[in-house]
Amino acid sequence: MFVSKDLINSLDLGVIVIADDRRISAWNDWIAHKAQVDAAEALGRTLVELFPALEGSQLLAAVERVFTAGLPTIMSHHFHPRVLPLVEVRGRVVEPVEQSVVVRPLLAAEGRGPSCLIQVSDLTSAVKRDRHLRKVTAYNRTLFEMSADALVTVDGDGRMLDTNPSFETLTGRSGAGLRGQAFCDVFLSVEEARAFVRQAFADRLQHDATLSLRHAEGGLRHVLLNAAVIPGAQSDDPCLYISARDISHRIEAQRQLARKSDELERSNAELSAFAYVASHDLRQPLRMISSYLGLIERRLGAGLSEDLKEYFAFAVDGARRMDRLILDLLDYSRVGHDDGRLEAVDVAEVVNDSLLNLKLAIEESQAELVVGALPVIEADRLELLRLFQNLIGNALKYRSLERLPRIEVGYRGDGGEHCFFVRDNGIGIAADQSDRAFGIFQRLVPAEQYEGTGIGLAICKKIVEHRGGRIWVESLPGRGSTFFFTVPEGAAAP
Amino acid sequence: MSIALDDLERDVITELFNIGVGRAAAAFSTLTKETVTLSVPRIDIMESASAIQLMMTDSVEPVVGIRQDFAGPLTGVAALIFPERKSLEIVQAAINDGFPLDDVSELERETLLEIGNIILNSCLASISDILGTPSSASLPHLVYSDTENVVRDFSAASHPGDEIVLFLHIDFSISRLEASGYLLFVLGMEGAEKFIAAVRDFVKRSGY
Repeated sequence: MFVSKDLINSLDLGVIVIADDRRISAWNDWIAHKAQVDAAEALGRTLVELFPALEGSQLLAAVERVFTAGLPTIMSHHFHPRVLPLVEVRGRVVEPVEQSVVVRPLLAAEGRGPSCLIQVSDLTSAVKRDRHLRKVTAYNRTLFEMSADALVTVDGDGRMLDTNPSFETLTGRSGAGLRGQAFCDVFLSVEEARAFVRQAFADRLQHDATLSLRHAEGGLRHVLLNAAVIPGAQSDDPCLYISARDISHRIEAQRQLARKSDELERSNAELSAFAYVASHDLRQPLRMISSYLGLIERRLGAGLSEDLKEYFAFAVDGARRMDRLILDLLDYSRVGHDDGRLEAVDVAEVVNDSLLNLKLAIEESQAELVVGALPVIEADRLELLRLFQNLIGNALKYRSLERLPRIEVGYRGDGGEHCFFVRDNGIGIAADQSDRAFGIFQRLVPAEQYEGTGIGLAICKKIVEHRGGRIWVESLPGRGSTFFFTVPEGAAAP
Repeated sequence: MSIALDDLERDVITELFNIGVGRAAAAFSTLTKETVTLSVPRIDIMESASAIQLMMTDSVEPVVGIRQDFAGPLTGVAALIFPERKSLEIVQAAINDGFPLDDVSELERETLLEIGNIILNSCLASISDILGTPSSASLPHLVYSDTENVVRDFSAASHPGDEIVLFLHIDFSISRLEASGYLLFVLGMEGAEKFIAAVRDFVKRSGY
């Protein structure tokens, strides 16, 4: 050989020299190692003798081109991935070597004919890196294309580089029409968008900015923008990766809710004011009617026939009942208006007070009262008193004529709320009537049998619900009813 | 001696080059398993400044040149020149790969080199056929530049101050891709004269 053996053996690439008789005249250590063929075995033989599979190959054609035309050949990896059967052995792992091969003439040395150099490079790691890059790129591209959020990349000049289908749907414009255009021009307030982009570049990250943009076919879209700075694809200049989540539905719903809630508040306030004023103003003429009926009755004195006396009694009773209704209405409209002070209230004391207030009715009906253990809770004392007095009063009122009334008041702590009940053995309520029982001026039984305006339970419901609790009844007609109500623990209690 | 070619001489050389690139196209088709056609519609001998002028009227994009130096009866630089953007498309079509090529890796650069190598080798073989003696050639390498500088550099490298070139258009079609580029052989005045003499001799021998 005309180069030192040591030199070609120390190269990190494969070197094979083919003499003009087509026999191998050099075979370096690199190629011996990867071909698993020693120099002693290779020298003096032809390539096809060593590797019969090379018969008719592009490699042999390239070698011939060197000898006949003096022309070199590059065999790139894409077209010729594994020209020679080379492997890399790592323990038990045997891996094929990805190659790039150059075949070129060597000038004839003194006393020898021209020869051909085959130079083999190991591209395995470059090929692996390339495959990995392709996989990662395909993966990222799929994420980008499939994202339900609109995605766009924007360069330092604020121009759009890349957009995904969701972004195109959001704006109603085609990708080709968007690329190269100013990102901020898509938005209703260009200034706000510019401020967002500026800030994102400055802070490298920007979260949850809400902006509005105009769809190409008209109509506004509201989006939540998030952005992060990433290196540009073409250059190292940073660009912005922006995701725009379409929150138009949410914003629209919030606006509608706020509108509805305003309307509701206004109409509630009007209604309360109306009920209060009406109740007050209605009582005035009513008082005049009763008073003058009394005066007329007195003036007529002894001359009044029995019939007329009865008529006067009906008229006065009507006025009295109407006054009662108005007072109840007034009561009902007041609940929840004056937010009473919440304090620690001993419920046992409250129930006791309500029993005292109902003393007459209890004695009259010979009712048996059973009061269980009751807690101390945070509540408005007066509201609680009205609740119990109404419920116990109802239990006394709607008693069965067939047995003496038995009324039980009890409590059970129940996962985050206090639950009280008032149980009776009265006439009961049919299942399909139990919701109606809590309606205003709803009477389930004729007034002739059981006196009352039918507002008691409506007031109870309003008190309970105003404080965030629930009220309901479980009943068997003819056997009795149990009224339950809850007070949220530690919340705004009655 | 005139270095201007008459119509017959031009036709004969064009035909010979077309046979050469035809062989290259066949080699490509085998490699890529795609239909590849290559053709040389026009051939001329001129000063490199005129070649630059011709190329600049086509396009002023950045170009990539694949250069092989040749030596033998004729000595000079052979180059295949493509618009850079087009060269990416050619590689992509050749390797039949849907991967977006914003930039080329070492692997694609090598593929481009092989494509240039095949075409240049086929043309050098055509020149050898005319001269009757082969010219050997160096390995190809890539040059990224613009039209004007790439031609100037090649001329200055081989025949400074004597910039006569053999100038060819080459049309390339692979899969659905159509591309055209230029082939440039910097011969110098002496080389050009030798080449034309050989062409005239060839025409006479062939009895055209």
